[in-house]
Amino acid sequence: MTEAAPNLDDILYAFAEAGTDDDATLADYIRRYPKFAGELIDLAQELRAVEADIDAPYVPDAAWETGAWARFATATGITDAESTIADPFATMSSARQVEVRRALGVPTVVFNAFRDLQVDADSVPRPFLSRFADYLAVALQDLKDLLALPERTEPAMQFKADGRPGAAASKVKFADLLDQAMVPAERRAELLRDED
Amino acid sequence: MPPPPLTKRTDDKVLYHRPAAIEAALERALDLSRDEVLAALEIEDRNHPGHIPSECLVHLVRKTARDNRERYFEKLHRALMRRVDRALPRAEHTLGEKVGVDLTRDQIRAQVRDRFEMIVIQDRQGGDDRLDIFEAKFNFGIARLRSTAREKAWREAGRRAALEDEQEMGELSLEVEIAAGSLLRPNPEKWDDPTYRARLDAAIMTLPPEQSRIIKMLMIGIPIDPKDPDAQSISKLEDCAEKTVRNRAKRAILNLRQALDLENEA
Repeated sequence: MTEAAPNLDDILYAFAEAGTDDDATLADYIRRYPKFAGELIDLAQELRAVEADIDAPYVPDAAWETGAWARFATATGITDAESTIADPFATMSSARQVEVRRALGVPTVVFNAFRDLQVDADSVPRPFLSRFADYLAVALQDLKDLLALPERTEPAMQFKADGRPGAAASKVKFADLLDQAMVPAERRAELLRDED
Repeated sequence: MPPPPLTKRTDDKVLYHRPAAIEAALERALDLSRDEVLAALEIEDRNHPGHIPSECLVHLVRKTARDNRERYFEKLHRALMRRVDRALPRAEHTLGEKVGVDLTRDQIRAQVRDRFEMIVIQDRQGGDDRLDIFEAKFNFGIARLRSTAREKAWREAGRRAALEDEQEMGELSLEVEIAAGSLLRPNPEKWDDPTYRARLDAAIMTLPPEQSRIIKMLMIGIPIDPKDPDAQSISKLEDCAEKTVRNRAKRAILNLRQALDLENEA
């Protein structure tokens, strides 16, 4: 009978998952994989040492952290001034837009207002915004940051915003947006509910 | 919505996965604002409910992509490097009143730092999925890097161990068994003392790999040379003569005694 040769990485990973604090587990793995006895022992000892080192007194090495960041920034072309925000709408297909809109239970104009960055994020209840972020596969904060950017030029539709003039004030409040989109009162109340 | 799954697979094509506790912590972390994330990263106590596990920090670093507004990404990167550094052996150590620098530990630390930096850069450049392991089991990933670095450090230290193996260490058989027993299996009171175990573990880590492996095998009850030829033995597992095993064991025990006695004086 022939068996596929066991892969060292996989065995070590399985061993780590099984719990390396237990000598009986180590003895068992050595019995099953004598060829990798040395590596299993090394890993068991190293994992214990990692735990001990994490709990030991530590003085941060700011110089190394700074150097590591500088090397990373150089290698990947990131600059301090860079401000590239991932825009989940940019790559979203029309079909997916419909899917998300339906899942959120809002009319197209409401969805589009978000897409065109016309909505004041602070006026949107957290549960709704959080669900929206989930459907877009971005972090809640990333969606808030995206909505804080100036609205897209030539949006499909303009909404009336109240408040002071200026970039932030030009955004429409979520409640007003629902009114202007003529969302039924019951659904409006659900969307504005500020708790899960 | 749960965080996206990892993409690295084992040799059996099984996806690496985050443990349930990490998955839950990650869901919580993803719901935090940037300021809240940065504040939570200051919490060092791993048992604190607000602590962000290193696995989650790796995910946040990868997810933040190129967005460095208000230097947010830089702060995450620095926090991750600090977590890595904290998990590495300290080069400085105390022996009595003397503070010394252990060159092997220093070399291991430097190598793992460089390696991890490179893995993060290559991950950003879309080269591979090696960071997946750090998202699933951070300490495992670090331990593997340390292990590789340790092997390299000892290899570069020369062939001293091989030469020493050839030297006769005097009467070995019974003496080694007794010495190992008193050191690795002392009276129960001493053995159950976590301080003793921690010091012994730390001392074992200072041994060359071929010595530390033998010590660990003795600790879990694998005989040097069994009476039953079909049974497992250290000489078989290490693929060397019984005499070599005993030489290494005796040398290891002498080293451990020295290390533990020196610490006792501190």
